[in-house]
Amino acid sequence: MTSRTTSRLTGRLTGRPTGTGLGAAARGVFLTLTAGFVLLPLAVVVLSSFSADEVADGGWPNGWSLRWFREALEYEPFRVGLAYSLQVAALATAISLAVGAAAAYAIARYRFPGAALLRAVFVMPLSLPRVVTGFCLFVLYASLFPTAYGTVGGIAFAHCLLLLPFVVSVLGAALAGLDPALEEAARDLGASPPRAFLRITLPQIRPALIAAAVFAFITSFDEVDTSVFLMPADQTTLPVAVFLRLEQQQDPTVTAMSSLLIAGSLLLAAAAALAARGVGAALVAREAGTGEPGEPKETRGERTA
Amino acid sequence: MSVPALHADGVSKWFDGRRVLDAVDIEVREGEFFSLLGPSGCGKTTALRIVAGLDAPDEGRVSINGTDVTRTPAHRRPTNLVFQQGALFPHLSVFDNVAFGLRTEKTAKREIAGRVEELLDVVGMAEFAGRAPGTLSGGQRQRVAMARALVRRPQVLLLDEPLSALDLGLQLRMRRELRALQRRTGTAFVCVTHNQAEAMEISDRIAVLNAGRVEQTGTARELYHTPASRFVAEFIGENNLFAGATADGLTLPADHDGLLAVRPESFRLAAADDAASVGTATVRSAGFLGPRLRVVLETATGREVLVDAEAGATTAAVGERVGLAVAAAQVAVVPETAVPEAAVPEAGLPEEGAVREAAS
Repeated sequence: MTSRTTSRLTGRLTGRPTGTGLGAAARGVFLTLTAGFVLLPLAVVVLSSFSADEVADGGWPNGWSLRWFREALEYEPFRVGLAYSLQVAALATAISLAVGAAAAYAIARYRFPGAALLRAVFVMPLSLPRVVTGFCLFVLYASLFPTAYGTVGGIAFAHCLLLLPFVVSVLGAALAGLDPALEEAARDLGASPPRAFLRITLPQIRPALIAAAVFAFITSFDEVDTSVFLMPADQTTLPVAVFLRLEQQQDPTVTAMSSLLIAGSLLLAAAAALAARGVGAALVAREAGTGEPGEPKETRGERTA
Repeated sequence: MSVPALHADGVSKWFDGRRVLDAVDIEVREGEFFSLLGPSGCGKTTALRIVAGLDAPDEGRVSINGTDVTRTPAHRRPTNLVFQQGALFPHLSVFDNVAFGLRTEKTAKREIAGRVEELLDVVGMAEFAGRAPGTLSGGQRQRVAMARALVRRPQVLLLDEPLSALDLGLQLRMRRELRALQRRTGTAFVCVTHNQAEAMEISDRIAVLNAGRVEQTGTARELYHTPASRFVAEFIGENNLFAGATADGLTLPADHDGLLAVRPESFRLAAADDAASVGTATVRSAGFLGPRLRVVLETATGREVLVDAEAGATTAAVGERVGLAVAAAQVAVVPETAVPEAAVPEAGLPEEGAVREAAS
């Protein structure tokens, strides 16, 4: 299954009439190996989750079964953890997007003393090992905010620190490519500054916004290193629950759960890709109202893609 | 006197400790085509942005039809701006670009459609309503930008170098269109430009800006014939400037010992011993420009003098010594001002290279 997927993938990538002979062959081999390197671990996980074996050892299964999926879905820490993780990821994504967009906008549009410093500050958390961040926050919560320990808000706040560098740099790059005169033109035409931002700037950075949101959500959802310090062992987010169970048992329940997460991530990415095209076009069409002659759908699709 | 459509009163602006506008006074009359003319960096765009409300003045007041708008934000001012590159919204169609300014004021849908179509018709873009801005040419984009700004029926329309991004042929045609558009709407237009020919052709009045100051305000004729400063004398058209009545080997008919200006077409070539001549000079080059002959001469002191003579009636051989004649009325007295020479006029000699080539 894996080899067929990769060969189809590389076939499409090298299908353009760009090179011939040795060069094309070398490129094909390279791309196949790279795709294999990326996809093989996923394939092993997915494969073992359908296995009838008692231990997930990475080998070819001796039989097939769906029981590990049932086990995973019935395992209480996973059920609780899934709901918990979804809440944390949603909250952390919302906060980091709101704060990150505002910060990126300020850095991109206003000249003020310390703008460069601020940009550096927002990227700084990247250089700190996540376990250190987690430990520091644990000490902070334990000493000053004991009520934040083990709550959705407390963990989401911690995740925001990890997400902001990414959100600020992605949105900052998108904003830097926009002509500031566009927003000024909107204000000149009677739009208040917030309205000018919503109607003119936001639609144009929508793809970056969606990309940042998807990445932020997945990052928060998968986070273990920092989160593990911030919650008691009897009630944890899903990846922490997976981590804790792996310490006890190595049966395919964990790989079954992982397969479900892989499927979920793929669905999310597909939805995001659709949103970047479809929702953008839909909003533009709504903005257009009814008075418009002609329907240049294709041009719009291209612009928002 | 009636209330001016736009009055900028003592407007000053600093950027990073540098004064870019220095007590600028501008009065634009109702229904007037007014140009702010100056070299790049003279502050003309800043002045326009202050009128639009996109920048705030550090000193002075701005009023529109008698209403003080100095503290009014851009989106509540009765002005609209045509941006230099058009600044069309790339994610909206031509129709939606023009309709944008009407939707912000909650105009009824049917009225929006009517007004947008009317304006697109005025600028000749009706058939492009459904197109995306990215698919339009420079001239088409600029027409849409004008329609978008005019659809709100501003009391003053502001234009920031509206034609500078277009190629020369299109510029010349758009000048006439712009002028016709202004006549048709009867709106006061304030147009920023660095192109003196453009300003002279389309404006009722012009304010010449240099280094953040208004050097002179007047009609093209006034600026041309009675420049109020050395800068204006050099920036508007071409001029021969002399430090005094007896300078550079010439004796000009003027009883003024300050700066004097004589237009190239005001000099007349005469015989070297003509009693009416104000001095003699040697022909360095002569170039045929169609109706005129551009003659470059050199006086005894080595000073270059430009003369435009009627091409049909003049012969000027290179190396020939000729007399220069000029009527007293054609010698303009230029008031000397303490304004620093901050900028060099961008309008150089027309076809200078071609003249030299033709002469050799």
